Amino acid sequence: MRALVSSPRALSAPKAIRVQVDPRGKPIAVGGVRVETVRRDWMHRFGWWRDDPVRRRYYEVITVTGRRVVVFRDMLTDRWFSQKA
Amino acid sequence: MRRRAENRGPLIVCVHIPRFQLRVATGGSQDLLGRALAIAPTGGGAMSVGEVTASAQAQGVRAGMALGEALGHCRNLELIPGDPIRVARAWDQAARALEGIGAQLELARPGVAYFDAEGLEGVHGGRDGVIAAAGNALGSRPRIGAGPTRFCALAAALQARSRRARVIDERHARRFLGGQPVGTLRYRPETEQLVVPLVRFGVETLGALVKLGAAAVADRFGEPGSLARRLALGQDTPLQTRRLEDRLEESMDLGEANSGQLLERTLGVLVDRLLARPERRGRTIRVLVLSARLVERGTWCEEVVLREAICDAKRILLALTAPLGLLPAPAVALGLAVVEFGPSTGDQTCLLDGERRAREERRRKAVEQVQALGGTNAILRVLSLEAESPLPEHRHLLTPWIG
Repeated sequence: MRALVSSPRALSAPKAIRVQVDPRGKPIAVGGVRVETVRRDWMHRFGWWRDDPVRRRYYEVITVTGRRVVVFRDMLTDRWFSQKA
Repeated sequence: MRRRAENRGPLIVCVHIPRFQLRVATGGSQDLLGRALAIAPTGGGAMSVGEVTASAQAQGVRAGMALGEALGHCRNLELIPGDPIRVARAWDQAARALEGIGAQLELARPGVAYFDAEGLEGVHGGRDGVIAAAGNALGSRPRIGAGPTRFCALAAALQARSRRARVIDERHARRFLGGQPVGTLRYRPETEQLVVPLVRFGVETLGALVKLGAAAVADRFGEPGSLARRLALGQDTPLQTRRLEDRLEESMDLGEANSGQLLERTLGVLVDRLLARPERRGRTIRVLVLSARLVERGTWCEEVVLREAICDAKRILLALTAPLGLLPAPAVALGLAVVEFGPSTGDQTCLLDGERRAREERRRKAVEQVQALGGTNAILRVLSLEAESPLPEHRHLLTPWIG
């Protein structure tokens, strides 16, 4: 029987990524690829009433290869992630 | 009491018969020891060699290597034609012998099988008893390894000696895996492409791969890299055990009937014979294997998954005609086997409300066909949870498609 199946998983789950930033904290390279421009940035504060609040600074960037990438810095852990948003 | 504490946690057993395809192709001949041999590339596929003997391996030849490169490494390399039909039969026989001890098997490739020892311990007197029973079931001295995950069990089996199984305790799995060569990843189809670039980068062991960090590995190697790292950390997906089904088989010598039309007629006779077998018990047919013994030494086989489970001889023959054209050389015998059956009821079509039902039916069949080819996880459903959530990962879930 092929009864065993994988458990449900989140679509668009954040993936850890290496990001280099300028002195103001804006991304200048994402995953080793230089950023051409930062199109926009925004802040998410969510679930402040819970034990696991979320504080993220999102950036939508275009790399020199022409790829659009959405990355965010987790303000609580100071780690960077990419996400299909 | 202490022994019981040690035996906690899952135990996946890996049974590995090294160079299984080569052994079958050479008929297990002993005078081949010390000779540089490799299975010749198949007619239709990539020009790369199959399994190789230890002597060829010592001279730098590896399975999957391009033929030109292999001959460059080893001038006296002898090529022998592969025999996929005999390999499939011998492997099925070995699998049935293992299933005879009560094991539910996942067959990774000919020569590598996994099963969960849980539930068998009571029958065979503990974990050691299960491992001994598996070894006794196969006469050909398999290498047996066991560990908390499939990958750990495989790495243990690759280290094991023919007379002594290697069992890795859950607490030591991560340390054990850390010391294993990255070449172990070659045994997983999803990660086998990583071995060459990793070695080129100087990453020799799985421990070194783990040290690179999740982000760096994902960044450079994508999903296969992340999977390889998870495997190295002692994580793995659940076993996908095979369904126990009876296999119906028919074959016929061709004599002079080598031309296209005569081949098709022979195939028609084989289809009629299969459908007439009482063991079919009225069931429809989902997956068939078309095989041939070639004029030159060697055999050929091709799996055919039907778009829908049917028992109409004309439609089955139509589906088999195209693969017949892939025969790499003239054949002296043709074989046809049913490896998966469908339900015995077949299609019950409806007079009214036909279009919607027909569309749903087509979708159901498409899902079944994809799952028959790629396993249950080959197709997933997107489930909307909180579509308005500001966090993208809270909006949708990927869930298995069941039913």
